Amino acid sequence: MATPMPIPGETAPVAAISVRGLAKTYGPRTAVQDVSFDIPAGEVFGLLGPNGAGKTTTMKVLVGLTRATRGAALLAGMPCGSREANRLVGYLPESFAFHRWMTGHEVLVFHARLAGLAGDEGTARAESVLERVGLGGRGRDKVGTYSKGMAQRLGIAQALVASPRVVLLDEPTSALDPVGRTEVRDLVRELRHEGVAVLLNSHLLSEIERVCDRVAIMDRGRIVSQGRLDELLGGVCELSATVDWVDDHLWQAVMPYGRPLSVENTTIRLEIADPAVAADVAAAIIGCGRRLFRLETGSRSLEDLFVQLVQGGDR
Amino acid sequence: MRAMRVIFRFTLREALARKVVLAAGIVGMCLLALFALGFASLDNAVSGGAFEGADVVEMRLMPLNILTAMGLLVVQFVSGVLALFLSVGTVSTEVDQRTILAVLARPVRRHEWLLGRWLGIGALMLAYVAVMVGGMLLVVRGLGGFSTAGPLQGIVLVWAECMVLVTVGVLCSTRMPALASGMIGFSLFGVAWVGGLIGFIGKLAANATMERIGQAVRVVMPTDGLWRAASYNLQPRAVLDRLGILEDVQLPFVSRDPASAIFVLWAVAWIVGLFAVAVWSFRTREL
Repeated sequence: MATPMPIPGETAPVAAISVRGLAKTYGPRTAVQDVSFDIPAGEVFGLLGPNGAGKTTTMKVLVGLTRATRGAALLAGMPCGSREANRLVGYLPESFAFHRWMTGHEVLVFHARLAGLAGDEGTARAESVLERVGLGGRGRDKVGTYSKGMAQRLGIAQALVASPRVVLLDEPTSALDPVGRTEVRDLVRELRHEGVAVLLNSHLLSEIERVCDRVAIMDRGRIVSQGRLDELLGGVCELSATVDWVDDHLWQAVMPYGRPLSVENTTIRLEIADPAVAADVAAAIIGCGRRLFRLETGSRSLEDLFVQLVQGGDR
Repeated sequence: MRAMRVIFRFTLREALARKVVLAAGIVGMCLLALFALGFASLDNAVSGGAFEGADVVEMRLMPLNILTAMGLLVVQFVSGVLALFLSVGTVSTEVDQRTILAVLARPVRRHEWLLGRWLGIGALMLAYVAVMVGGMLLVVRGLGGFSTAGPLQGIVLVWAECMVLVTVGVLCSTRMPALASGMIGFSLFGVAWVGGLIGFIGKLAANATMERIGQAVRVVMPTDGLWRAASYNLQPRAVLDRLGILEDVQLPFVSRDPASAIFVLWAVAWIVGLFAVAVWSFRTREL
């Protein structure tokens, strides 16, 4: 039986998920390299990155479907992939599929039994999570008759059926409509409230932005940035100005106030450190003899940060 | 053990839900009915003097025995094919359909998945073989009045033959798609059959090389050897007694000699060893 293992050199309370120096190679190809993060109980942690960044591989290592080449990954102090660790986990794989000959209820009872919930307990849990994901009326239908959205809800129910302490969701809303996405976000917030640690892998930046406490951005197998969203996005604003004409003279006038981001038609975008410089930028534009039609400031979006970090390398 | 039991039951339910049991049952009943019809017709013809001038006992026994042997040969062939069909998707289909990911993320070891599936398929095959072989023997006894040498041993040996194929299917399934696994399993089934035939002809022709080829194939792929061992137990006792007198009479697809205990033990060890390789193969596979 696996026992909780301390991470070498650390004395902090055991995190729900703890990853240190994780690496995974497939022959000559490196899928994950030197990935480290901790997720305490009751936190929603977002894993972002382009296709092939290593997000799914990281999740697969955490549930023991793939073995790490180097590094350590622990779930509640248990070595990942061990029977004890897998008892604590609910996992929704990407593009999750079911045995189509089963009913939704049977799928959940099957997973409950595999997780160790015997007899009535497993049946009751199956019914409870079916209701929770909004499939209460369709539990007796064959999975083969489900829509994509219903199948995805069932996948989430499957991940939750054994009351896990750690939930790993790989693209949980990819097949859902806007209402379904909102419901999943609410569900994730409920899990956080219940003290469950959630690792959320999604391409939908807005989803990550709305629900995650912390985020790690991965690119080519490495984490290129991680932290609280307000830390990652904070201190940087964006200014957008629409004028009648853009030329080098105008750029020279506004560059002292911020870093140029882009120009589209007659709209220029600058990264600025302080929204108060907006008045100075307006004065500089007018000082160049240009007509100013619109001026806006706002926080930098996660999308901007993501694009900057992921495109910044030598891709 | 708990997870293995869940997977065992899951396998049985899957076979029911996907109508494998229903289809095998209907086709099997048709086969049994056809066999019974043929057997009754042949018995009437033989009893009515269809083969005049020959030894009466021999002329009643031999055609009925040939029909029985061929019927059982078909049953063991269909059972072998069914065993392959059921086993070649044990892992590969689940991986292709991605259904295995959530299952193995549970506190389930990979060997438990394999063992649960293997036992489930084994139970289905045992039921099928018992019904089909047992049904044929009942026809032989009911219509012909012949008792067989060892019906239970025969059924177990045909089942063991199926389990050899199930294990081959499971092993291939851990690394290859279902189609490729099926081709390999079916080819090995055929290779063993041809090897058995070469050995049989070698025995008739007193050719030591051919006999050795037959024995070597039997060791490498024991399906035909197990069938021949089963066939001895499934033939009417009267035929075996008669063949004991007629030294020069040989039938190509059945055996007039019982199986050696060493060969049966080897077959069991073969199945266990190959299953261990399948477990290792699955455990080391990245999903």
